[in-house]
Amino acid sequence: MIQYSWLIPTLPALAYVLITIFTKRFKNISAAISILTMASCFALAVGILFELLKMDPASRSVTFGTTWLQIAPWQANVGVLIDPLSANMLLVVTFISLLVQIYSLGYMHDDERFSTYYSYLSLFTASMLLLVVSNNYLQIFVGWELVGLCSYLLIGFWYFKPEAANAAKKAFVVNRIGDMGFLMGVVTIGMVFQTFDFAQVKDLVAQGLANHTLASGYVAGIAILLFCGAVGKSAQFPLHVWLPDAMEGPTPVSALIHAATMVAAGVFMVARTYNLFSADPLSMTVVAYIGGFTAIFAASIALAQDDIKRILAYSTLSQLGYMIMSLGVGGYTSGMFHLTTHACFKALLFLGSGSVIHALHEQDIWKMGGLSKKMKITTITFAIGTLAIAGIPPFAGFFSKDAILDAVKDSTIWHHEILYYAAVFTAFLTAFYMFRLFFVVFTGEARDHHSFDHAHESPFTMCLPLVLLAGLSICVGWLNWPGVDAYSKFVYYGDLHLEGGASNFVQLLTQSWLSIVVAVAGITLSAMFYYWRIFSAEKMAVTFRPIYLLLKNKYYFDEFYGWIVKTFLFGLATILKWFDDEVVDDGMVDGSGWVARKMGGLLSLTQTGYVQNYALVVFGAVAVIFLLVSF
Amino acid sequence: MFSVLATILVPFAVSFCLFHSVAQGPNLLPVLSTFILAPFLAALLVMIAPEKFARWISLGAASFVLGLGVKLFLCYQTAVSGFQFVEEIPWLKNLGISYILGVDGMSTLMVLLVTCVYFAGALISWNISLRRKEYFVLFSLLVSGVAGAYESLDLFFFFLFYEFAVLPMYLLVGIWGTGRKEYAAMKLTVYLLAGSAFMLVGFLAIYFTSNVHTFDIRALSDLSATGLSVSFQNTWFPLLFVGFGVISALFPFHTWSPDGYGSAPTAASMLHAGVLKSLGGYSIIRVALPLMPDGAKHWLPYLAILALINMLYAAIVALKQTDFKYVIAYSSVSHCGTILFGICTLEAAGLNGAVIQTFSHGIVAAMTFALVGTVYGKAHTRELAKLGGLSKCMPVLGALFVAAAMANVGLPGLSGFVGEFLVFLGSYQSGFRGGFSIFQALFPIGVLAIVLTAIYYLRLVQMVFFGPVKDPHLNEEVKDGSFIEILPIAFLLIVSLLVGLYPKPFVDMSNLSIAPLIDHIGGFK
Amino acid sequence: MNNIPLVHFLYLAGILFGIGMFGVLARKNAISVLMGIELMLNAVNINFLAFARYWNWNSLTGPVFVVFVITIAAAEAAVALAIIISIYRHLRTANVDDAHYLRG
Repeated sequence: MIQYSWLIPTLPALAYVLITIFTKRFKNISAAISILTMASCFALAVGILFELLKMDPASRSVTFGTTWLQIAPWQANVGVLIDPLSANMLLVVTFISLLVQIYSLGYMHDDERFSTYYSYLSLFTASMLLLVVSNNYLQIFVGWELVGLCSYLLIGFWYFKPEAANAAKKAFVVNRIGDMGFLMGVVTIGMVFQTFDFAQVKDLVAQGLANHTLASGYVAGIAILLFCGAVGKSAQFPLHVWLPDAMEGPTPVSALIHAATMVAAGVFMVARTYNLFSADPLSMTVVAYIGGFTAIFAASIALAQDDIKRILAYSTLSQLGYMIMSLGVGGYTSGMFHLTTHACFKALLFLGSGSVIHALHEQDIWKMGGLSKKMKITTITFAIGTLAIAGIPPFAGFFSKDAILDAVKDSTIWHHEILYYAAVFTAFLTAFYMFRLFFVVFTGEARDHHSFDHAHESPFTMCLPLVLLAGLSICVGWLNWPGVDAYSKFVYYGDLHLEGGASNFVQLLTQSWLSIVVAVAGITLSAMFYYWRIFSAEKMAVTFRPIYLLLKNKYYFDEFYGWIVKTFLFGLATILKWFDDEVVDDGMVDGSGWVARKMGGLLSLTQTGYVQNYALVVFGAVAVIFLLVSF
Repeated sequence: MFSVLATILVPFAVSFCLFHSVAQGPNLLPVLSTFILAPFLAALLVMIAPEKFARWISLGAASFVLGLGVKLFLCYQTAVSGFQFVEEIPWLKNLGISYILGVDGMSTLMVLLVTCVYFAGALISWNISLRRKEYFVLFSLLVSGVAGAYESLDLFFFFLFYEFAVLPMYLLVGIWGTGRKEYAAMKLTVYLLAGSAFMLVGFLAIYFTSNVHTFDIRALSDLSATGLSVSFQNTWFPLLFVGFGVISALFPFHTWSPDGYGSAPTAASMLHAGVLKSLGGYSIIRVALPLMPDGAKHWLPYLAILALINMLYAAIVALKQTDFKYVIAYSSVSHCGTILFGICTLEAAGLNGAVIQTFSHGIVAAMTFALVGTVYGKAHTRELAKLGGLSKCMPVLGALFVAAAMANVGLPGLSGFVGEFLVFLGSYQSGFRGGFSIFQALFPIGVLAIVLTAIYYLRLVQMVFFGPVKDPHLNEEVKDGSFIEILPIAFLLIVSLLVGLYPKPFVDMSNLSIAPLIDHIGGFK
Repeated sequence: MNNIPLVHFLYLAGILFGIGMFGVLARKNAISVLMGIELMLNAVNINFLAFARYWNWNSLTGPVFVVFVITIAAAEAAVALAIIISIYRHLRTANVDDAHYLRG
């Protein structure tokens, strides 16, 4: 099965080509092509997983490839690397993509660019899969950039909306800033190691560090350059600004971006190049603190948002911060595990919110309410997703989030206790704002009766993915059921060691009492505000108005960046354009033309038009020459 | 539509097969001369044939030449390398001038580029109505000159063919242009001739100083025979570089480019941006570097700064342009900066990057100009403030423009990335060797260009194709591109994709010229 | 003949040349200018012949040169006269100062 793994990115890419060229006009055929290719990719991914499981745990890594371009001494390859990490990602990506595509059948049903939408989805997944199976740094960069392109196309899918067009541009440009660092990192790797291959670089780094020909600080520098890319793609602070705006795209796309494809790429990349990051504490510390800060920073913004998708977007930021932090503190397995569980419940939440938006044509949570009466399936599945993200046992989020907290607590990183308390506090905030969202949207009375009356449960194609994802949001965490630890025994870095160390479920619960307590506290507090209405959120907002405004306006980061771009970049552009028009063009170019004309004017004074003047000059000149020659 | 396809496919097949038999058997057909003669004969034929046949003849000739170009690329023997298909006819023996044509890996790529752009340009000009006959005559002559310049191995003929290409350009811009066309035509021509004046002086200096008394580039490349002293090289190299640089819109001699392209008719901008402009970088690699390696080593680190300014300055200025076509023109200037920067690194990766970027820029700039021209033909304005939401009425052109923008931005999978990546690799390598640490500083600044390019291209896409339709009047009358309009653009996109998806054959081809050149020069040490 | 020294020929030629030059530079009538030019040409002819005679009479270079000069002078005179007539028809004058359209 593994020898066919190259088909996994190829099939959706072919689907893209097929749909774009041939079946643009046939909606159903386009969707069928796209979904069928994705289903076969999923089947392949499952096959690959089982084949890997059959292999010896120590040698679960298969790679092959072919030359892409070659200039001595470099050889850039295009190839496939299948190991537990990529198998895990393949499963996540293909599965979520498949469900999102099925879901889109209902959600995008009336869109006139239905086929185009499916072609973009296929290309998006293809790029992500290309990145996941990559066996070298250059190919991962290629997939990385293509993912950026597809996000541009999909976020700007409704291009006639100025907000969508703006958001698409912003996503691409902000990602590009991160990619600049990534590209420099890749070039540096090519330069230092003369190869782009993961395995070779890994060996060379290990050798270089062992015999001190390579400073670990240098490796840390490369890792941090690469991490710039991850900061952009996984929307970590300070390049987080594009992700909330990316909500302008169709909701299933948001699910795809947030759960499986785009933002996971950053985390995956850090995991894939973990040997560079773990070479030096400096790079690990940077990664951990950026992740930790993003987690709490984004969670605090989510407290004051009103748009259902934006709340979810900030929760994604926050959860990604968890994963990045986990990788930074050495929790490789827990980070990847959280990525997997998060993919399930975040896809569920986004698709659920899509179901709500589909029903109401409304995104402001304060115009919703009481939807549980009308949308049973959506409500139940959404509740499961919310419980999972809040980290309530035995839902999936509990296991992975707890593993991360453990990893932070046990880490040896610089002042890890700060990170630990930040992470715990973030867990509290997460429970609070997610249940705020849930209570406001699904419980209580309807606030906008007009749209409420039209609300209806979504069609089967949309509910099926919700139910499947809800099931997974409960069960996926059980992979790491204490004592079983199936996931930890599959995906790990270096030598196998089990984190946490609880041997049964009860022991796990007692060990992680703090995270359960904060989650429950968050839910309770949220219920007091928004369900039982013991406290008034409005009054709180008035009392702490400056803080509320600060959070609501996302700490004014958009305005700040906008100001920087406008003042510096466009200011510079204005100056240079002036320089180009006035100095270079009018001054130098037309100036030299002017000088030439004037010189000609001066010389033309000698042209009197009188023949005899000319003759006189000629004779005079001859006389002078004669005199000069003779003396 | 079918007659068009037939006009394309039949000559293509004929030339393809013709060449095939030639490549197998004895060298009966002077292949390289055919690249020059076929457009020239087409021009003559258009002159005497009735006007209604003009475009058919040109398209037929273009397809014929395209077939030859593809076949040349396939037939070039990579195992042998060096100059192949050489034709040599003594012309003025006493003065050492001969008509010598020959291609190595790099020029094979360039000839392929010329044929691709010629083909696309002939298609894009399909609906020219003003003085159609004269237009196609000049158009074909232009190609004839450019092809000659890329194939010439004799400095004199190189110069001759170059001049031969510039003059039709003057008339094409001056007669079929838009806006301030006379001014633009004059500016462009004066600049290009000024560049060629530098060039000529440099050529003559080399000719009279060297010991071999010939214009043959192959003979002149042998430094031990020519005996050009280091001080001579240090004096004349920058002159030659600037002369060639003017052709490639080197800062601060770049302002002909936006004005010229802004006014030129679509096919002329395509050919100029795609092919004639690339001649600058090409000739630096072909002439300046091998003839004066010591001068190159002395000057290139400083000239790299100029190239870098080209890259960034043009990109930033592009941000503030208000005319659709001017943005593209500045982007072309910026890309030429990348090419020159790649050359300045004097490393295998950088020079290969420059060659690939030249090829890519040729294809991509031609594609972008074709799109701009087509859109302008429909919307009747190029002012960004008046455009908007065009994707609504021309989705195919919109999608193609996004693809073109991405190719310009250097997205992997399209040709732009390969060149840029190699240039960056080369510039880093140059710095890494420690010879000139100046590159270590320049490298991160250069990478900044990829962000700037993204910003102004996406801004352009957003202003023209996305967002609401600003002028509702536009919406009703504007239609999406027809088959004839889409065909050349799609063709160029496919070429760009080919290079982007599987660059190996192209890079291998260019490396056949670059690897020996690097050995010859020795790089910064 | 042989006892006339070379210098005398040169004096004659010099005088003729001077007169011709005066005609070219000072006279305003185009015909007079033309006549001046003819005088100068003839002065040169005398020089050619004189040098030829005193230096190497066997070589025909000098006389041949003179024949050429005479021929071309005739042609030149014809063209010049045609131009003068044309100017006269156009401007109703043969004064060279009145024909100054090429002033810069």
